[in-house]
Amino acid sequence: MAEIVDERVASHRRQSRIIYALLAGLMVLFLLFELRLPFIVGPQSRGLFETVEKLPEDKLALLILNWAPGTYGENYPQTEALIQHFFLAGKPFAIFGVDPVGPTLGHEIAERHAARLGKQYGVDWVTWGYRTLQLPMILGLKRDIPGTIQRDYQGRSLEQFPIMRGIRSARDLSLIVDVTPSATVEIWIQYFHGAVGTPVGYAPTAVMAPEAYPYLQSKQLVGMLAGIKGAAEYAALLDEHYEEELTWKYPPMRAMNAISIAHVLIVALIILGNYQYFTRHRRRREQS
Amino acid sequence: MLTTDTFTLWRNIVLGFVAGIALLLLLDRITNNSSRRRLMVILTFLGGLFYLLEFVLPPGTTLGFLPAPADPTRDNALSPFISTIGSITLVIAGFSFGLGLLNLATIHGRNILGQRSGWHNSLAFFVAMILMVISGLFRGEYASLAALYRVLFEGLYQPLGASVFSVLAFFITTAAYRAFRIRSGEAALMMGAAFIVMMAQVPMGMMLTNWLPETGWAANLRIEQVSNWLMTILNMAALRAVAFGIGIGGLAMSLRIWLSLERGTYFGKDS
Repeated sequence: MAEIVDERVASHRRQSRIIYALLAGLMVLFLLFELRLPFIVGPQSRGLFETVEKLPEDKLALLILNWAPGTYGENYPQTEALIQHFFLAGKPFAIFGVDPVGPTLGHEIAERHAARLGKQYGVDWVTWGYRTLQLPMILGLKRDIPGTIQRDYQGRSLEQFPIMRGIRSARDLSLIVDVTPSATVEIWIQYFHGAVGTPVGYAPTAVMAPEAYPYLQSKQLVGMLAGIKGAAEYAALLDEHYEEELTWKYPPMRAMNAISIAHVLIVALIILGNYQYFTRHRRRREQS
Repeated sequence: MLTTDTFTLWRNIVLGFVAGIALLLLLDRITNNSSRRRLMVILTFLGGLFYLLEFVLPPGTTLGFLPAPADPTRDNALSPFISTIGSITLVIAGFSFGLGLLNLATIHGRNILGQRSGWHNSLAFFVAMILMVISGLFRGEYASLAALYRVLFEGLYQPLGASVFSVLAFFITTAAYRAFRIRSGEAALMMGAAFIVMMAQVPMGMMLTNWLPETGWAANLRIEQVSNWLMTILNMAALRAVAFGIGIGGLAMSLRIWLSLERGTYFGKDS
């Protein structure tokens, strides 16, 4: 009996190593070589894109970055796509977060693209930095932005930045986009869209995207970038609408190809696993 | 150079800190457990009552002892205090960071001093924390510390953080091979829906039905259209029901916490 168990454990280990090697090898291959596969942009990404295009330039868009390096693969390209769009469309925006690391990462992305596109800190964008996620802070933000935030990520008073002139409360925000692996978007829908009608967009990881569909259907969300697919769709829309060359630290289309092969592999393994299961099951029945 | 404003600010901080410690010590001396609990219940209730009243009182409402709101079309008498209380809670949150840091330092310090198993991991914790704090705080002044910060944050923290979650992909793949078995009709239905949604997410999956026309009734059979229907009709209905349940449950829980009816680890075991 012990030998049978040992043999089974050794067999599982061998299978695991083969599967890991297959997955890693295929993903590396598809990340290295770009394939141009047919791609259709969904209505959720298009909704967010068109909303950003129509934003008024005398109000501020709020890009809330609540992600950390753990969800780099999905949230980084989403953030990069949104920041490039804000810059290319000339829409002023602020970077903010209720996660300590997100605003820092977003600021680095914004600095890199600002240098390329000739944008200026304090005029085209501002980074408010990190604040703790607490109800009094949210309510204060809704009512009095300069009084609640007060300073940017480097401790400089917000009043000195031209972009913050005339921005008093949530009514002066043109859009809120929450880039996050968690369900923080409900806070912005409840306290900003529900209270003062600020449009809200959502850029979650793919696993969180299904929870947003009720809000999309009720128009409480103007659009959504669902995971890396959403980022790739947004990149395709930017390519279509703007002549300027887009640059990516992690190109979303290439990541989509790698994810494609991973999905195909998972489906193939499920089919193989079930085939083996039913074959074994039928053999046992025949023997008995 | 110490300006008057800086001196006043630090004087107020020190005085506030000393007054706070004195108040806590006084409360500790003059109260017993049941008095402390009563005090916490009263403060919790007053805190919640403030926000409830601020939300429900119509704009323009004045309370005799409070100044009238600056914008009576939008605010009531309690609204001007929202920002101040927000700042107070931010300061309290700052203390919670310090408390967390103190806690970690105590646990890992004990590991090192007691030479417990894995004490070298605790040493690594201190080294990493001190290096990160120093390089982060002073990177603006010293180029060497800026370079160190870049190595630690961009070179180590970001890739390590991404890698930890990336290994999930391998576990999901082996789990899919070993555990996803179609043993019933419901499992088959679930697997079919999962197959459609998974393949519709990726270009290779969309290629399966790319030959179907983009317009007309046949377009509804394209995999991305079927996936969209599953997500926006079936999935949405189920999740909306779940959201209602969560909302009602959250409301009930909030009332219990506000009225200090909740019992458990953080809510006091005293009856």
